[in-house]
Amino acid sequence: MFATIHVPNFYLQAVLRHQVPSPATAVGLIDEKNNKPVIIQLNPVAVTAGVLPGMTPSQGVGPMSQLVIKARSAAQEESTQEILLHSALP
Amino acid sequence: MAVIDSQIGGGLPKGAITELISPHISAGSASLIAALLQAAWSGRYFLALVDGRDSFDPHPLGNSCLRHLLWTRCTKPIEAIKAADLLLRDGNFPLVILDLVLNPAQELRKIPSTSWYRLQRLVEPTSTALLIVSRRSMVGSAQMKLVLENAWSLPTLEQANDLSRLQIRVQRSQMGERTIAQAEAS
Repeated sequence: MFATIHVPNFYLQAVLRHQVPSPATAVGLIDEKNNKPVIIQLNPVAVTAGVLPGMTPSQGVGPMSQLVIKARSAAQEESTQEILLHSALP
Repeated sequence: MAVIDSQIGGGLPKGAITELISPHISAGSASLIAALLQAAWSGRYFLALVDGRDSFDPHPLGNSCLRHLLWTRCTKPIEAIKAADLLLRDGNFPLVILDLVLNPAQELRKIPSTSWYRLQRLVEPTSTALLIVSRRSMVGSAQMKLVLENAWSLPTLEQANDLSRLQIRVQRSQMGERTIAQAEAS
């Protein structure tokens, strides 16, 4: 038997766990390891503003000039995953 | 831009780094950046300015001109290098300016030379021109090095068309050497 935990925008949430932005801040996440880094995940404010996944950071600031760009963090994803597993299987 | 075209025999090379050395205060680097912005506006293309010391003053340029600018405000050289790296990979700008002219020399010395070669590798396959503005020569991978030879005073800046008096000396141009080498080989 196994269970799956679905966390929407997990990579973004992992990065923002210790840097919670104000509710009005639009945030986009990029993966710096890609040759051409594009936005892979967005928070609801950025989505509402018209920023789309697949845009480059410079394209993202077109619809939303105050867009905050964050980069994926493997370390933060790992620690968040550990916390999730610990909470799910105490 | 006529000023650059006439003094270096053509515009800034695409797919290469040009280092613009502004050896002292009031040598004209800020005026040149403003002129490049105005050229971007009149040519209807976008330009990215990575401001290494958050020193750019957008006020004199006007809103219409600034619509063609992506201004990245940094405080440390390492942040500026990272921003330039990202913008070059972004690939949406024909010109990226990395302004490090006001960053302290001791901070600039900490930038490993490999960073400049990385930027060169990133810009090479693109049609982007990367202009690095610095106080002293430091970019080993620059294809062209230009030196601003001006000492402007307040009365100079009050005169009309001050940019036409801008003196630029070409310190090194690998582009020229290549052209000569190619001509000799053929």
